[in-house]
Amino acid sequence: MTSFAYFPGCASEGSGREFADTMEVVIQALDHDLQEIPDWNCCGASSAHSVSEFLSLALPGRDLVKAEQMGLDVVAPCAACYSRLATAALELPRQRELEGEEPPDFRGGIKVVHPLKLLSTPEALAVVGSKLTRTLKDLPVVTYYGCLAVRPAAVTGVTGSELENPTMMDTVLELLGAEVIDWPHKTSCCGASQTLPKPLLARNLTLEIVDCAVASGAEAIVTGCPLCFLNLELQQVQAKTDGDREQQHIPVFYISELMALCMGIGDLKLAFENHLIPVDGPLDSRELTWR
Amino acid sequence: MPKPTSHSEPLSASPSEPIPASRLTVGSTHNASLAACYQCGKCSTGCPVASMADVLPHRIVRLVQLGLKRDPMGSEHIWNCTGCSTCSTRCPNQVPVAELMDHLKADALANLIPLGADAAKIAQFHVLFNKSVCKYGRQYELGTVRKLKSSRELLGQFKLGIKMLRRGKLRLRPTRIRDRKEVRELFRRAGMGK
Ligand code: SF4
Ligand code: SF4
Repeated sequence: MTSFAYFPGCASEGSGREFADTMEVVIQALDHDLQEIPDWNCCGASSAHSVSEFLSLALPGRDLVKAEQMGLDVVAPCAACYSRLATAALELPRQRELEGEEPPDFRGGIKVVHPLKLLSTPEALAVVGSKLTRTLKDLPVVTYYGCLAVRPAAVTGVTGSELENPTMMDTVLELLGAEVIDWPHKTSCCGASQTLPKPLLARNLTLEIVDCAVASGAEAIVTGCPLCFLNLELQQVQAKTDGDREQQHIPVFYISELMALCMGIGDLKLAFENHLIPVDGPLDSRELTWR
Repeated sequence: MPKPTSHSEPLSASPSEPIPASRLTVGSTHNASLAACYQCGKCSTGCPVASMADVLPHRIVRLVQLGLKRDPMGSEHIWNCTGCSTCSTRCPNQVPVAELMDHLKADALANLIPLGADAAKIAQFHVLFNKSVCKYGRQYELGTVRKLKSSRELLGQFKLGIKMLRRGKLRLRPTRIRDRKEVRELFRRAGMGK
């Protein structure tokens, strides 16, 4: 068993609740212990680094100092939180050397880990395999990683072909019995937070991804990022309302939801009923009950 | 903690005045200088918002190399940039292109560079987001969305907002952390809070 300092992130309290909930039970089922960082603050997401380099490091820095006091590596499910925390973990000790300023409180003694890495190690896969209570019965899916779980390489440590063609979720889904379809948009950008200030920018990017997923024959898109998930659902729903698309609602799943479903753990009713796009289609046709 | 830097530095006003070599290094994550750029254009080719760019990423790099920082600081592209890091990742010379976009945005705000209508909406979003974090220590999504100029385009459809609320995807009330003073102090040091 490994203990981690857990950084739930702001999305876990709102838009990405079902992700955090299911991710927690899955990580715990892998026999890890999650200890929430006390009184954690927002990492600043894409907004702090857009207005101030200092804030972009200082906000996650406060959380890292607390985690370092706990003496534990950090797990942050949200790709944006992960990216900001991992960037600060790299930068803070280095800035201290480079600029010879007052030593920052963070010493660099701990790492920030992305949950997709945690879930796809050979050891983790062995545990998941031993706990499967059912399979996805060849459900055709595409995996969508988005940006920050893989890029920038200097922060994520992802290298080689994995940068453009990551396979962490693919491996897990194959183990769960899904048919993982090859497609070109694994690491395309969904528009991230631009959905709020510039919805049409994000819609163009998201719909290209959605259209390609549908054309590839997938019945669902699987992601590991709450912001990607939000965009993929919201923009599909809104595109239909606006008459941009006639009918095209491909369901979106979090990787952790499908793992929980196949391992028979977690409250999936709570998770799936929160989706804007119903998941019944792909699940009911395979008698994968969740109610 | 590093001291706040870029946003408090004055704009290099005269286009003929080159930026000192030390300023060409943007962030030390990649520890590479913009001078390494040889204009292959790979960054722009992979950029998801290149099709709507007023100034393409590789041209922005060039302008900054030449000390003409003022032009890209007023461009819309730096605000359209999603921060996807495709540019930095694919660059054969490890030029930190994505990080450069962040620096230019911070500098544009600090120097009160006039922004176009779309750029201003995006800048407003980032400012509101930060205000929320400064106030509560966490992001209060509904509070931020409500104040956005663009929120009507997205959530104007009342039904969608209601759906999100009913599913608990938008909280009615903010969560506050205990030690908000500590967070506010960080904003103050960044020159952004009281
Ligand atoms: S990819 Fe790198 S070297 Fe090529 S134009 Fe862009 S910044 Fe310059
Ligand atoms: S980080 Fe910005 S400039 Fe670079 S590829 Fe992504 S959107 Fe384009």
